[in-house]
Amino acid sequence: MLVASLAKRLGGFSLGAELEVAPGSTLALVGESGAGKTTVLRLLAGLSQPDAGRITLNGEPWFDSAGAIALPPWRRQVGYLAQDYALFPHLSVFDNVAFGLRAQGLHRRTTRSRVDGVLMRFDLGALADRKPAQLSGGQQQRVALARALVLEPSLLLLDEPLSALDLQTRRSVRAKLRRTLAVLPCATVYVTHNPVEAIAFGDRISVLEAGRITQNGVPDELLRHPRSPYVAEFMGVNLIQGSIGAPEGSGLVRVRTPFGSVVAVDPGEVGEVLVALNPREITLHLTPPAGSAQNVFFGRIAELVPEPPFGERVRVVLTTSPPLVAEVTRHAVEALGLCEGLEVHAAFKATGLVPYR
Amino acid sequence: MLSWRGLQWRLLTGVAAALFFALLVLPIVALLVRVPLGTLVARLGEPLVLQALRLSLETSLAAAAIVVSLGTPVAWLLATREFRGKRVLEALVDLPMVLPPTVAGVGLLLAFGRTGLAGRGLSAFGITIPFTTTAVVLAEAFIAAPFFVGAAAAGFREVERRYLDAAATLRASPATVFFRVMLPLALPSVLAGATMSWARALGEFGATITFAGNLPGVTQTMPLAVYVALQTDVEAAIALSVLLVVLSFTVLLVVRALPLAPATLLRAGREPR
Repeated sequence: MLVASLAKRLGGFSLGAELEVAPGSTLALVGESGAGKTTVLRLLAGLSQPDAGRITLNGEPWFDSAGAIALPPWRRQVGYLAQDYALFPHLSVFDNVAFGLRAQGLHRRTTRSRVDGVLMRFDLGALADRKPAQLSGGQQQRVALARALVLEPSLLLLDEPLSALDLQTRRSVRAKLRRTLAVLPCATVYVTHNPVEAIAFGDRISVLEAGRITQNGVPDELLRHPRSPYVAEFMGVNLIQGSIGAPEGSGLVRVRTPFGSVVAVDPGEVGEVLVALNPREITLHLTPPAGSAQNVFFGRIAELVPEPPFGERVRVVLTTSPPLVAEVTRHAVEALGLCEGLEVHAAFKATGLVPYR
Repeated sequence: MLSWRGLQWRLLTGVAAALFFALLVLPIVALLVRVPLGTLVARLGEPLVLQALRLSLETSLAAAAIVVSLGTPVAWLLATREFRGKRVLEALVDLPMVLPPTVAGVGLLLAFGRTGLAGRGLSAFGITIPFTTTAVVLAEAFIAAPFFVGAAAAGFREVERRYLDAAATLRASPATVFFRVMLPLALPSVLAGATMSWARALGEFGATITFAGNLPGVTQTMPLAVYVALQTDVEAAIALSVLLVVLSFTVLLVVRALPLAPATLLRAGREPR
């Protein structure tokens, strides 16, 4: 179990984050560039030390500002995969993987058999004598992973492990990496700014915004109840912030926002609330709809984004207030003749919209 | 079609370059054409010449060994650490490069001479340094040190931080990181620096003659022998000079052939796919 509370100032940037990762599980740490994701990994690895806080792994203190404990990186049971893998350019694949075992002064024969075993497991046996410069991106990633895992770390840190790969290899490497991580006994922190990876790898997701963790939960929780505009955008849902005045008794309430009000299910409380709206719940109409939808907003289409590229669904970015994103089928786009600049009515029902705090 | 201005510029740079190389090359050519090759080889076989050659090789290698073993930690410190007074220390390390070697010799005498700062203590133990072979080694090391420390520090600075970080997270202690990652990646620069400092030690004259004197077989290295021979036996002086020119030029060519940056190492290892 990794338990960490970290405080660190770097120039004008300040980081304050708490993390918990159970053994055998993966925490996806997400956030924009500059949010402090890599700093968190470097603090956990011991490559830099927090100004204050505590890091314990399975009860063993790695850092404690109160107890003046600060283990250097080489004394921590940690595996660290940098974004560019940082394979030693002067060493062969075999020597790269053997590096950590040799650094610990392990017996030659033991080293050989452990390295051979790991190379086999990662399908690298045929590449043992190659230099890193002679490997493809996907192969380099496997060598870096093998080099870290041969030491059987109790904490594995991955810094955007797929970002250095081109799109074609990314998919297959992602699948392999998932299978590898699924059976690892160690706690893993997986840094990414890609929602697909965060959901694919994260048993839990922690969102880092400007040095603070703004939300932490299982992927489904973030999808249903995003707590910040960034989280909502990351998960691809609409987030409406507003307040509920007096209850209306009809089972429905008006959530007042600076742009007008939204009708939603009565949560039985008043005050500041958030409403998450799945883009698929929004229907688009060329004339004011006459159906049962209580919420109708008018605006122009700002952008049409196929999702995934050339996929069957299209995300429609609207200039309504509040700004909404709808998701419709390609068929609907053609039937309605949707194009950028077109004025439309966006409608959604109150049922299923449950405000939360 | 070249314009008149362009032509003028070409002419100007061409003349400047020609004059520059005349200044550099003429003395070398003059040395090489003066004495026939047969006489040259015969002269090099003379005992006095051989003695000076042997002493030069021994002392310069000893000096280079001292410079490398003591200079490597200094180069590492200058390349990786930030501390107060670092600039002053860097200037101090470079000082022997610009100091007149005779001044260095005087300084060494005042430090290690019989009544010098450290010499007084040493002579209490019956150790005298000036005018011995040890003095030659010290003088050469003093003058040659900056050539090594500068090159090695530049090499260490080139090694990217991410490799050192990766090594540290792979259970490598700082010493292991240095010997298994830092040094191998900076090796071309370190070797180049060691070779340059050895070559500089080989050519050392001023500090040696001031601090160690000019005793044949004890402190008379090749440059000193050239100077002495010039007064009595010009042909021997020329023979020794030619030998030194060839040796120095070879060293420079070897240094140039070394791949200087780890980046070059990487490119060499990359195959077209």
